[in-house]
Amino acid sequence: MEKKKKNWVEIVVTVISAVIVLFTLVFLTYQLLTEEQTPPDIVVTFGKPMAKQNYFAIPITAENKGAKTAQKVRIEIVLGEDNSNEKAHIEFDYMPGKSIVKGWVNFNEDPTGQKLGAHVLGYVVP
Amino acid sequence: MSSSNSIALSLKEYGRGIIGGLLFSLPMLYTMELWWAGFLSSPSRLLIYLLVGIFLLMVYNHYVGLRNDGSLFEGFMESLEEMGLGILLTVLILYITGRISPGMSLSEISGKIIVEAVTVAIGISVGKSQLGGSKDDNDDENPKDKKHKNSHYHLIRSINLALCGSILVASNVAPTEEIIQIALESGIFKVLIVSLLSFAMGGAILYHINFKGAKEWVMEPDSNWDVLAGTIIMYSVALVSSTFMLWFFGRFEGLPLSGIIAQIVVLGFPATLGASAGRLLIQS
Repeated sequence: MEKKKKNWVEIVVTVISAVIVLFTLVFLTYQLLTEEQTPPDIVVTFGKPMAKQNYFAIPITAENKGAKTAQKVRIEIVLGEDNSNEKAHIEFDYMPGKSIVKGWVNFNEDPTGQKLGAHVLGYVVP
Repeated sequence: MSSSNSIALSLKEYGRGIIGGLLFSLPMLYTMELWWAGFLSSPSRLLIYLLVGIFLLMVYNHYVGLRNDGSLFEGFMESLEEMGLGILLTVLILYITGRISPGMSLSEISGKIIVEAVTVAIGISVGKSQLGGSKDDNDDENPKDKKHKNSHYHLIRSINLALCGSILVASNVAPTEEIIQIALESGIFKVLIVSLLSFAMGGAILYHINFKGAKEWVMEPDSNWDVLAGTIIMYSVALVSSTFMLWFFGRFEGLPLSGIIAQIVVLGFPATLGASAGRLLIQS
C-alpha cells in the first residue's frame, strides 16, 4: 500500500489540534490535582441605581466563590436598615463554581443614600 | 513510495468532517442539559470522558479511518486532530449561540466544551470517512478490512464500532430529563417491553431486514444460536455504553437500583439503534 505523507495543511491542522487537546488534558489534570471542591459561597454586590419612569432599578452581581455549582439560587434584597422596609427577590437557575451572574432588582422607593442588604435565602446543590 | 494529498483534497476532507460533526451533534449543542452537564461534572469525570472519546476515535480510525496505515502512532495523531477540530467547532457553536462568554469561569467553559466536543469529534471522524461523494476522493477500499477477515478480528471490530455508534446516537439524549422521567414513570412492565423491543430491533437490523452494510459487516450466522449470540453481544454493548453515559452525566445519584436499571434500559433503546444500524452506517 502506498503510504501517504501529510501535506502542509494537514500538518498545521494536526499540530494545532494536538496543542488544543494536550492543553485541555493538562488543564483538567491540573484542576483535578489542585482545585478543592469547596461548597457554593455566594457574594452579592450592587451597582449604581437607575431611576426609571415609575421605579428604581439596581444592577446586582452575584459571584459564586466556591468550586461547586449552586442551583435555584434565591436572593433577597432589603432596602434600608430594618426589616419593615421594601424587599425584592431574584432567582438564578444555575451558578456554576467561580462564576459571576448579573441581574436587576426593582424598588418603588429611591434607594439613593439608603443601605442595601443582600440575603442568600437558599440554593440546591445538584 | 510516498506521496501526499493535494491541499484541495485535504480541505474537502475537513469540510466533510465539519459537516459530519454538525450533523451528529447539533441537537446536543442545542440542548440545555448538555450545557449544564459541563459545569456539573467534576474534572475527574471530564478527564475520563475526554480520554474515552480519544480511545473511541482511535478505534474508529483504526478500523474505518481513511488515512492511517494501521500504526498506533498514526491513529493516535489522527484522533488528536479530530478531537482538536471537535473542540474548535464546539467553541465556535457555543460562542455564536451565546453559551460561553467572558464572565464565565475557565472550568465552566472547559466543561461545556468537553461534554459536547467528544460527540462532535466522532461525528467529524465519521464525516471525513463516510460522507465523501466519489470514490476517488478517498483511498481505495481499505485493505485492512480485507486483510483481517477472521472471526476474532471481526468480533472485536464489531464491538468497538458498536460502541462508537451507540455513543454517537444515544449521547444526544443521555443527559436529558426525559430519560429519567420515562424510566421512573413507565413502570416495570413497560420498561421490560422497551428492553425486548430494543433486543428484537437490534437483531432484526443485524440479521433479518437486509439493512445496508449488514451483509458485508455482520458475520454470516451458521445457526440461530449465532444470531442469538450476535444480538446479545450487540445489546450488551448498548447497555454498557448507556451505563457509561448515564454515570458520566450524574444520572444515578440518589436513585435505587431499580431506577438505575430502568434508565439504562430506556437509554439502551437509542443506544441499540446506534450499536446496530448506526454501527453499520458509519462503516459502509
